[in-house]
Amino acid sequence: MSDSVNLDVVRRLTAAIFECDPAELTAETRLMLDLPCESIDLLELSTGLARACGVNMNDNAAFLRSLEFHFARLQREGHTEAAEIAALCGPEFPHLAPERLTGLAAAWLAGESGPQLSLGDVAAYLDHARRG
Amino acid sequence: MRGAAERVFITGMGCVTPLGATEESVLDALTRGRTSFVRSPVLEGAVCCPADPAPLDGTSAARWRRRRYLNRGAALMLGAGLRAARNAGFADALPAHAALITATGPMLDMDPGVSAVARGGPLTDTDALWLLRWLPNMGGAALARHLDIHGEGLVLTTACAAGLQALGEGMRRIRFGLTDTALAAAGDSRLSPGGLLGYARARAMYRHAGPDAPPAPESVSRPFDADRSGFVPGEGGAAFVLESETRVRERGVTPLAELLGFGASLDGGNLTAPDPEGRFAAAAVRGALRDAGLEPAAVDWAAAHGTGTVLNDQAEARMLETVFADARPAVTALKSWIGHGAAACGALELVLLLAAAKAGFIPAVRNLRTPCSSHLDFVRERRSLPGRIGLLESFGFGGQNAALIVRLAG
Repeated sequence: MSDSVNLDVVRRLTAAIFECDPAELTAETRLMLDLPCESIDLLELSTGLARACGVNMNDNAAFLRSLEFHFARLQREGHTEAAEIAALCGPEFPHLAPERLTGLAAAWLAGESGPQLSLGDVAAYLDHARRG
Repeated sequence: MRGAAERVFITGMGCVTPLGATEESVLDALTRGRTSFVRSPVLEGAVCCPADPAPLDGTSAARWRRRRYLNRGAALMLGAGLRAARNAGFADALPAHAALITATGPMLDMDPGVSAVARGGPLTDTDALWLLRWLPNMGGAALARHLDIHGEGLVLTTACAAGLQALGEGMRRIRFGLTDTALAAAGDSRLSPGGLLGYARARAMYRHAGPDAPPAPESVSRPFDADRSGFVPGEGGAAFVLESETRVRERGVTPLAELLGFGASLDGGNLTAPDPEGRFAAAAVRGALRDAGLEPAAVDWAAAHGTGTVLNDQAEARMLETVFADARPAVTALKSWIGHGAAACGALELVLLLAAAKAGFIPAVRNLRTPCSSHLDFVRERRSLPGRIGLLESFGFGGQNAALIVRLAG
């Protein structure tokens, strides 16, 4: 579970970019699937978070850009269980809880299309970055 | 040059001006003598003439999220372009092959974050894409996106001549068969601190100084008057859909005007002051006349550049006296109504002329008490339109000269 302060920052900046009410956004809101998010919006979110939180944003990790690449690589290597794939991916995405990563892997294995990146995932990245 | 070339017509007009964003509001202001000159809130002693309403109000881009990446001039251009397309009968899209010729100024409404960085502040104080507000083609890019335009795109940044040049370049492309439809769109604003400071430092702009109470803001833009003391910055967007005669017939639309001729030249001299004799401005005007196949006597009226600076108006008056030595077109100067629209000025002034012409008159030069030329027939009181053929002139810093000859519908 993300620190609610970080989630509030993500909700506030996301709401400013999409010109919506922060109250409409939750940790489960998916940036690319539930909002009309394009790459330049992620760029604004990244710079906004860096400014607001004073963290160096690694967009590949924060926005799970290489997630599906890793899933596909592991599948090619013969790993077919979500928990197994999640465990092997863990070091690449240390900010994500094992159960969240397992859920993402299961959704990918089930063929759910599109990036599942949620506001909660971004908040978790901030939690991790600020702790680290 | 004309030969079998296509005639070119204006079939749609859109604007966001200090007199409003519809032909009706512009006409109403011209009729009632209403202007929007105010004391500048950002530079003491300066007067400015802001556009109203907000650039995108009432358009399909009013809630477009990417509008934050447009500087004010680009937003004004977008608002005007969307209105022009609709006015021409293209609700959501121009023909995909249409050319888009835009006119913009320098982006002087600098992002405050960038200034902070320039003073040594952290780079994170800027928006990720502040760069977009500086790129001169963003207004055009936004228009292309909203109107589904995929033809040739040009951006003209030829200072205050750019708006008329956009019309001229669009006309040429249609005339010579490069396309049958073009959108000529201009937008500019210099009312930001950066814009006003630039012109205040250059001493080209009106600015009250001294212990006396400042005069009424609406009284200081006074082109061709003996007491003129600088231009008053304005802002706005103006756009025109241009179509070939063939397309006009195919679509069965009624044009607002025909573009008859265009001329342009360079002074090749002083970086700011015009050539004192207006020799190359005259060349642009004569070029437009030649392009239109007309003699000076055929011109019924002229909308002068008429900035209200001492040097411009003096050189321009001399030039008009020379070119029209044997003719007396009615001369108006519309910066007395809307201030100086900078890169958009020629296009904005054409909006005012078309709006007034529909009601059968030509607007007066406001605040003209003592004309600086006794030879020119200045329009000192609103008068009936003397005829359908007119000349527009725009002369910019850097010695950029542009002249356009139009024939009004009627």
